[in-house]
Amino acid sequence: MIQIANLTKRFGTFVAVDKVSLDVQTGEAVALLGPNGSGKTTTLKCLTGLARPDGGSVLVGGIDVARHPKQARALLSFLPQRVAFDDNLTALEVLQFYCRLRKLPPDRIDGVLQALDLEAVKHEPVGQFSGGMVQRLGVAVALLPDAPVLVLDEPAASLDPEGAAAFRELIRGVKQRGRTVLFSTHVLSDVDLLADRAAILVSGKLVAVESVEALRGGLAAGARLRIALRHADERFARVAVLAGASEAELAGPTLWVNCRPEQRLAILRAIEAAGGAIERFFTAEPSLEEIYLRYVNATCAGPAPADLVGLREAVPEAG
Amino acid sequence: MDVKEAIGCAMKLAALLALWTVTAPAAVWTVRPAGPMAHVQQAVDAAGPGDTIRIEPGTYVGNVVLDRKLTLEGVGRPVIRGEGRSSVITLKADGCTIRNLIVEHSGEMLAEEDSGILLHASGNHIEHNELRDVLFGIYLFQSDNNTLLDNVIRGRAWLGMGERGAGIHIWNSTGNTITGNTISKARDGMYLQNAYHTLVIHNRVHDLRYGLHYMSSNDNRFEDNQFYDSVAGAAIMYSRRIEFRRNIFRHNRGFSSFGILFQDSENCSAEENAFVDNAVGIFMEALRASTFRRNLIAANDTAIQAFSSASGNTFSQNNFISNLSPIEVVGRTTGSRWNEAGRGNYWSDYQGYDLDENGLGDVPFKIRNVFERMEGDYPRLRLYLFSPASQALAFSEKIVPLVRGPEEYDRFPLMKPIDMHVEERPAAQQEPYSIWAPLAMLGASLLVMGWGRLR
Amino acid sequence: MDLRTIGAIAGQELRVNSRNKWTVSFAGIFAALALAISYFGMVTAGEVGFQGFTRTSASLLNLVLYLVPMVSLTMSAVSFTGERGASELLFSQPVTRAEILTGKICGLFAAVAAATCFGFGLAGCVIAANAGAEGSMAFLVFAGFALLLALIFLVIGALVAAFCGSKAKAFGHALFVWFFFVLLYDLLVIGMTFVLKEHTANRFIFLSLFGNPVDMARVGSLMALGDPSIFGAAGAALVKFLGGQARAMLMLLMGLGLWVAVPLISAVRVLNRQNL
Repeated sequence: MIQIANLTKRFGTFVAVDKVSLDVQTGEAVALLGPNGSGKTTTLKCLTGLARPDGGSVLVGGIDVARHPKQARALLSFLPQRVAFDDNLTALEVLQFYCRLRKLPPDRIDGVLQALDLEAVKHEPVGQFSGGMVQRLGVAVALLPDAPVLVLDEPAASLDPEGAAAFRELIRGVKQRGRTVLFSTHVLSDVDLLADRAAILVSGKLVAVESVEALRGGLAAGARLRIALRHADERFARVAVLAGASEAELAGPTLWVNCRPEQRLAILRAIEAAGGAIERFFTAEPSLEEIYLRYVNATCAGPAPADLVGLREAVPEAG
Repeated sequence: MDVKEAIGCAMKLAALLALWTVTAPAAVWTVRPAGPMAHVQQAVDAAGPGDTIRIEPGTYVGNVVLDRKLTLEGVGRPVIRGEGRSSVITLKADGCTIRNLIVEHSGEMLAEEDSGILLHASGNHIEHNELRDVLFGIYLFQSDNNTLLDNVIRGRAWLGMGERGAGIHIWNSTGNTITGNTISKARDGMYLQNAYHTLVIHNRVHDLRYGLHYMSSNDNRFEDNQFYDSVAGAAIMYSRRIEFRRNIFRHNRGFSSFGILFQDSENCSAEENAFVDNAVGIFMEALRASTFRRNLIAANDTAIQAFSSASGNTFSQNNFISNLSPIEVVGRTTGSRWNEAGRGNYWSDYQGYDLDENGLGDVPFKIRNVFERMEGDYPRLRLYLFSPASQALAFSEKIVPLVRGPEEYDRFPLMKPIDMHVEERPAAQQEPYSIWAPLAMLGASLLVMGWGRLR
Repeated sequence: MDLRTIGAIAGQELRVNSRNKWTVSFAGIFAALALAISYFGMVTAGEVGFQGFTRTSASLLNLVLYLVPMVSLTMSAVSFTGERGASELLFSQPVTRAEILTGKICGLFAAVAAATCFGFGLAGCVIAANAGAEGSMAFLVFAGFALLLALIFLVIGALVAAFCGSKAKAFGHALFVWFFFVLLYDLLVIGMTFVLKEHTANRFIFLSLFGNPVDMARVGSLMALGDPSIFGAAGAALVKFLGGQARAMLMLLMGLGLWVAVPLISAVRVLNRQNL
C-alpha cells in the first residue's frame, strides 16, 4: 500500500532523510521508531505530500505522491504531531469542514464524535479545549474519512491517558477493518501494542525493519540480570561466566550479568552453589536509547552484531 | 387766402394728420392659417405703425421683416417657421414687441447673423418666445435699450460648438436688459461685444460653451443668474467694471472648465456669488484691481487658478469650502490680497485657533501646501492628488520647509463661514436607487458577517 | 480546481475571519471613520447651502487608501502563516495548494469586503440622505475600486506569507509592503520625475501608475467620482495617453486585474515548491 523507495530529503546541507526505502503492506501497521531528529516526521511529510522529496519516490496505493498529490492524499488521512485548529471554530464546525472537503456523508461526524468522546463539547469553540481534547479532535479528523491509509505522527504523545487508551482501541479497530497504518513514535509500548513491524530510523537512515516479535525478542535478549549479593566477591563473576553468562561484572554489592534468558536460572543456581547469598535479583530491560545505540553502533562504527547482520540484509538496499 | 395762410393751413393739417396717426386707436390684425391673412408678412405690410398683429395657432412659413413699429403677439404659441436662410424675424423699427411665438429654422450663415430674431432697432420688447433650430437666438445689432424677457432659446445641438451661434448676441449696443431667459445648446449663452450698460438678470444658462461672455464690454452688470454644465459659467475678457452678484456657477466640468474665467479685465466686482462643483471655480489671467467679497467657492477641484499676470485683486470674506485644492498658480503668486479691513476669508482647511476669540484665526493660513506649489510648475504632479505621498509631503513641510518659494497667506482667516444664503441649485436628475445602493451594501455585509459568526 | 473544495475552504476562512478581532475591529474603525467623514463632510457643507459629494467621497477615498491595503495585507499574511498543526492538517487533505490558496483568498475577501461594505454602506446612507441621489453610481464604482484593492493586497499578503514562513516575519514584511505601496513608491516616482526630462517624465509618471495598485485605485476612483478633469491638464494628458476616457478606465481595471493574477500565480508557485 505504501512504497517508499530511496526517499531523500535535504534541508540545505542537512540530510534529514537519507535514501530510506520501506514497503508497508495493506492491512499492516508499521511504526517508525527513532530518536528526535531522526527523520521520522520528515518521512511522513514526504508521504503526505507536505514536503517535496529531493530524491526517490513515495507511492501510496500505487500513486506517486509527488506527481499526483491530490489523488494520493485521497487515499490517506494524516494526523500531525501537534494538531491545531482555529480557536473560534467549534469542534462540530471543524469536523463539518473536513467532511465537506473530503466529500464525505455528514453522518460520519456523529460516529467519530462518539468514538473520541467529544459529543458533549461539539458546540464549544476549540479555544476552550485542553491540549488533550484538541489532540482528540485531531484524531477525530484523521479518522473521519476512514481512509485506506492512516498516517500518524506521534499520535499518543500529547493525548491524555484516557484518550491514549481509547486511541489504541480505535487504531486496533482500524487495523481490523484492513486499513494500513504508518505511525511514528518514540514510545516502545506503542510499538508493542499497535505495530506489526517497526522501522528504525537513526540520523535519517533506516537502520532496521523488524517484526515486533523479533524486536521483542531482541529486547529480551538484551536484558541484563542484576543480582544483589550479601557478600560481594569477584569469585561469583567467574562462576557466572562458567555457568554460561557472556559477561559478568561486579559493581559494589551488585553483580551485572549478560546472558540469554534461558540461562538465568542456571546462573543463579551456580552462584548459590558457590556460596553466594542472593538477596534480590532483577532483569533490567534495555532502554530505547540503548536499542538505538546498538543500531547506531551497528551502522556507523565497529562490527555489526551478528543478529543485526541478517536484518540489515533483509532491508532493500539502494539500487 | 395767401400763400402764408395756405402753408400754415397745410402745416396744421399735417400736424393734425400726425396727431391722428399717434392718437388713433391702434388697429388689431389677426393672422390665421385658413383666414384671409394667412401670412404674417402680409399683415405686417398691411398694418400701420402701432398696430397689433395677433397670430393664431398654426405654423407660418416664411421670414418676417418688421419695418414699422408693431406688436407681434402669438395666441396659443403659433410657430413662425423661417425659410432656412437669413433671419426668421428681422426688426428694423424701434419700439416693437414680439410676444408668445415659437421661432424656428433660421439660416446657417454665421457671417450674415442668421438668427431667430435679429434686431437692428432700439426699444423693443422680446418676450415669452421660444427659439429653436436657430443659428443665433436673438441678435442685437447696434440696438439699444431693448428688453429680452423670459425667452427660451435652444441652439442647434447637432452642430459642433464652433459652428453654432450665441443664444443672445449683442454687438455694439448699450442699455439692453436681459431677464429670465433660459438658454442652452448654443455656442455662448450670451455673447456681448462692445456692449455697455447691459443688465443680465435671472437667466438660466447651461450646456454650452460660455454661459455669459463679455468681450470688450464695459460697465455691465449681471445678477441672480444660474450658469451650469458648460465649459465656463461666464467669461469676462478685455472688459472693465463688470459687477455681478448672487449668481450661481455650478458644475462646469471638463479639462479646462471654469465657473468664471477672467482675461485681461479690470475693476470687476463679485459679491455673494456661488462657485460650486466646478473643475476650476475662478480662473484669472491678467485680471487687475478686482474685488471678490462674500462669495461661496466650494467643492471645486481647484478653487482659483491664476496666472501671475493677475494682480491687485482682493479676496475678503469669501467662504472657501471643501475645494480639492485652494489655488493653483502658474508662475509665482496670484498677486492677490487675501483680506480687506482686517478681515480675511473662511477656509474649511484652516486648522488654526482663535485664542483671543475675535473670530479671526491667530495663525495665518498658508493657502498652498508644498505639493500644491509644486503642482503649479509641474502640472503632471496633480495625478498624485489625494495620494498619501502628497499628504506626507504637505505634513512634513509643516515641520521642515522643503521647497523655498513664494508663498501666500491669508493673515486674518475667519474662524466661521460668512453667513450667506445660496439659492438651491436646479434639481439634478434623480436616480431612483440612490439610498438603495448603500442599503444593499450594508445588508450584504451584515449577511456575510452574520453567516460567518453564526455558530 | 474543484469549486466545491474552494467553496468549503472559503466558507471556513470566512467563519474564522468574521469571528476574529481583526476583522471586527477593522469593520468598526472603518465604519466609524467613514461615518465621521461623511457626516461632518455633509453637515459642514450643508451649513453653507450646498452639498459636496465629491469632496466627501474623496476624503473617504483617502481612508480607503490607507486602511484597506493595511488590513488586507496583515490579515492575509497572518492567515497564511497559521499554526503549523492547522496547516499540516489542511494541506494533507486531498486538495491542491492552489485550491487552498484560492479558497482562503476568497474567504478572506468575503470578510474584508463585508467589513468594507459595512463602512461604505453607512457612509453611503448618510451621503444619500444629505446629498440626494447625485453620484450614487460613482459611489458604487468607488466602492468597487476599494474592494479590488482589498483583493489585490490579500493576494500580495499571501505571497509575502509564502516567502516568509513565520508569522512575525510575514507580519513585518507585510507592513513594509504596505509602506512601500502606499507611500514610498509615489515619493520615489515623484522624485524621479524631477530628474527626468519633461517629455519622458510625463510618460514615466503615467506608466508608473500601473506599477502601484494603490495609485491605480486612487486615479480610477477619482476619475469615477469627478471625471478625469479632476486631475486638470495631467488628467487630460493621461486620458490622451491611454486613448480616451473609457479606455483609460478599462486599462486601469485591467492593470488591477493583472495585480490580482500575477501575485496569485506567483504565490501558488512559491507555495507549491514549499515544504511544510
